[in-house]
Amino acid sequence: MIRRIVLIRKHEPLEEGWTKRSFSAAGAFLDAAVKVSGVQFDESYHPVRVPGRVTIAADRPAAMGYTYTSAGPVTTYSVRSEFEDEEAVERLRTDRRQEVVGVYADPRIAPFPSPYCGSKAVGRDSDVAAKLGVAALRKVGATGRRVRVAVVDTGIDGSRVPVIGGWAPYPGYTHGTTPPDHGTMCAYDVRIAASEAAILDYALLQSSGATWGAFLSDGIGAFADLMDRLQREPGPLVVTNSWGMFDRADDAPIGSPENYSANPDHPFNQITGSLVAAGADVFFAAGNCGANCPDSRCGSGDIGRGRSIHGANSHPSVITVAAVTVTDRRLGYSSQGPGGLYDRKPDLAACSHFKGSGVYPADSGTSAACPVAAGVAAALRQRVSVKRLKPLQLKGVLQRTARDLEADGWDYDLGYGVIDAAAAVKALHLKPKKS
Amino acid sequence: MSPNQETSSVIIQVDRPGGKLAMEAVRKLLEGTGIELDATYGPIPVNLAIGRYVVRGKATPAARAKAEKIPGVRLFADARVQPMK
Repeated sequence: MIRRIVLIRKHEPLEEGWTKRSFSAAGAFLDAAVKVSGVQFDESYHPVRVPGRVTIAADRPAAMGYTYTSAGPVTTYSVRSEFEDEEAVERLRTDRRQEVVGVYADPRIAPFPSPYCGSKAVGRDSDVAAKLGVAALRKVGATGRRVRVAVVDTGIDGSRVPVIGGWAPYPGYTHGTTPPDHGTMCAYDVRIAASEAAILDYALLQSSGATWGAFLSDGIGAFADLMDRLQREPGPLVVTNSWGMFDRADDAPIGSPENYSANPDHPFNQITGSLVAAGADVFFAAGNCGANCPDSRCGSGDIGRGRSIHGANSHPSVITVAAVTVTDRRLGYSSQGPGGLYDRKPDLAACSHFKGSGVYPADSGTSAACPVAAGVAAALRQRVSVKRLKPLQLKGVLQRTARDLEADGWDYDLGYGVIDAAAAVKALHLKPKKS
Repeated sequence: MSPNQETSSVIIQVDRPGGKLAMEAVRKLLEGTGIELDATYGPIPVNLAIGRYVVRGKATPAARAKAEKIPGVRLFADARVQPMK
């Protein structure tokens, strides 16, 4: 059945139904004068007076031969109806043209949930897989096989997530030998959608005291190595980056030629664009400086809308990922656009704050959302080559097929909405592979 | 050391179209500026098509000012980045 709002011209029984807040006062009239086959009026919904938009001012210039002064506001009444099919809708429109002003959609509406700021995990990795539509990926044989995913992070514990190679900013690092921490979590989360992806351990962020960190110059080294790798061994490469700058006090001021956060000329921003142009699908976490519950490391002027997505995390060519729970609540720490380099950021959102890798009580932050989204791209890349679909085109598909939670097309909190692998599979017309 | 003589980390971009850029050539180029180059880093190509490389080092404001006068040399912030956790 199809639910629709039907707008009907003024009749006394409809006015009576409205005044008495009762369907029955108008029921007989509706059955006799409006109803056609295949239409059922909802008796739990009384006629509602809808004042029309047409109001003609007395001094409005009149067309020749007609005086508008008698034209007043138009009153119509809405009733709610169930239709057997689209033909019934059409039948009502045409056969009852005299009475029916229009038939309109009646979509389900719900309150926007408040952002989630709790520490407790919401759901687990299997819920994330269900929400993403991983079953649709598997149906078309998309597991990320033979697709490389570079996890540019703190390093990976290869005993938990097998790795095929890697890089580090200093000589002597053996890939896959970092004790389980942030990088292992990210690698695990890639595999929610891309269970067979070939993971590369790019151990950019090094431990110093109790904190992990690096300099942008190290990031340039990592991305230059990835470009080299692409040249040596062409093929699909997805790059996931769950890191960024928390405090612009570390940066040269905006306007200075040395600036990073809003300067496309900064070498790290340049090489990021070059890596995408070379054929890599590059994902960046939006950041954890959202207005509702920002990370304690965020600078005082670097929290909330327009102040929390910096530098390459806001590069126009990358996919910038915000975070939601598996229950579709925005995570309050998820950074909000506009971005420093590009206004329309983030691009989309993915699930985070779930029980997953076991490294932490919850795989959280835009840190977890980013590899979840990158995993979807990796799975799709098994079936869709860069030759067929360039990174910016794949980005377009992921944006267009995202689930729009706020029904506004695009916004500074979640971009186009939550990444939807099943919808992307459909949009790309992927068919099950013959075995 | 006065505050304006404080050193900070910088990324140094060098445009030298045509051919590979060696560390020795960068050292020579920046000689006399006072920039302390990190010998373990670079030059890293960021755009080979236009012969653009980066190195990194430490510089005082005075050293920066001198280096920025060299044609094809630009200095950028080498900001600290951290995991989004």
